[in-house]
Amino acid sequence: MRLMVMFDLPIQTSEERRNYRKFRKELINEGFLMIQYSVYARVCLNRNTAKLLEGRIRTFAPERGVIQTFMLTEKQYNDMHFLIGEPKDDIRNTDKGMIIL
Amino acid sequence: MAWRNVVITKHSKLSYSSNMMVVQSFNGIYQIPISDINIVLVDTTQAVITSALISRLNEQQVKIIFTDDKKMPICETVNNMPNNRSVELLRQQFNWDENRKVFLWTQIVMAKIKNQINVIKGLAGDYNLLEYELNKVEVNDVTNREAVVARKYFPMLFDQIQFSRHNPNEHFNDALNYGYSILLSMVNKKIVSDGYITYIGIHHHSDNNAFNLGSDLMEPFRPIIDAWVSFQNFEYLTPKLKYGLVSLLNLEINFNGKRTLLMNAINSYVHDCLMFLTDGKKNVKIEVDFINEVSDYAINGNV
Repeated sequence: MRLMVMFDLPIQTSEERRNYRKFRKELINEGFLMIQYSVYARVCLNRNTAKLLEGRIRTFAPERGVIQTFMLTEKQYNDMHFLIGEPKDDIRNTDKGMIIL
Repeated sequence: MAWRNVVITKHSKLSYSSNMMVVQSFNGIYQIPISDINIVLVDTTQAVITSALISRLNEQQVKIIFTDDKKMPICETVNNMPNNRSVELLRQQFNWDENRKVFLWTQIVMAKIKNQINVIKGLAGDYNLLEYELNKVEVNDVTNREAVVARKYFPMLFDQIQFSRHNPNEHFNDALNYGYSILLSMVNKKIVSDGYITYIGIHHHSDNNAFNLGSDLMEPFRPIIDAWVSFQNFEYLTPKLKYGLVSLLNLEINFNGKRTLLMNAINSYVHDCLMFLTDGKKNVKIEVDFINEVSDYAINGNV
């Protein structure tokens, strides 16, 4: 299961910029991986954990702007087409249960 | 929620940053969210680990297992401060009801023997002898059928009349010991994260064993390791075998009629056992069925 988060946040005033930086940092702290600017994804064990995580994002989301999330199954996420570019090669972008480094 | 097992094999530095374990090696930098990690197996003596990471991993009840220069597991971290440990819980553990202990141990021995029979069945072996012993198990296994069965089971499993678990020159023993210690760590992890201590067992009571309770509770799952090892063709314990033994935790099995991963089965089983010992309300059921022998990254179907 994947939780995807996409956002557009205002960055006109210095306060808005601070809110934006804080929000982005919190996403990374939650284990999200940036797959494009303003598009983040994270592997979740099941739909329940994805929902839980979504609830947590709500707690630190800034007041204004647009933040959208959606949940994808592993199959749907991996069937994503890359018209240009390559998928991110990162452990956080895999669902492997066993990692050998 | 943790579902990833990480094995460190190369010269590397492990550190902490932003709720993640950061692994720096010659191949690059890897980041893994700590909340995803179940076990970190440091399978090399050439890794450096920071105290910040050790403390963060233990906060999230992650087991860290270290190996010696022969790459056999040598020690594991034990969490002293799980969030839910209380004096009351420990008092209960010291005073677990004798009848319940006896009942649970009988259940465990029966489950273990049943699983051993399943393994021999899977090999199309002659399991009648074992079944005969299973029927003779008495309360608290006073006649020690467990050992009698083991003495018949291991030679059958490895097709050698002379097979002994105590023979250090037997390469099967190395693999079994490795697998058992991973399994034991997993059981210990659950015991500690539920707030109990691993010293006080229900049957094992060695003064030198810090993990008496873990050694008790892991018994029914040993045959899974046995079965896997017996299917491998090897002369000595290779890294590939070791990683296979670790990834057995992600093996899909039928546990109490439900399809689940071995590590999740262990967690719910250990939890039930502890609840039963404490207040006797929870019933302990241990029914393990193997789905197949292929240890794949079975988690694929679950994520």
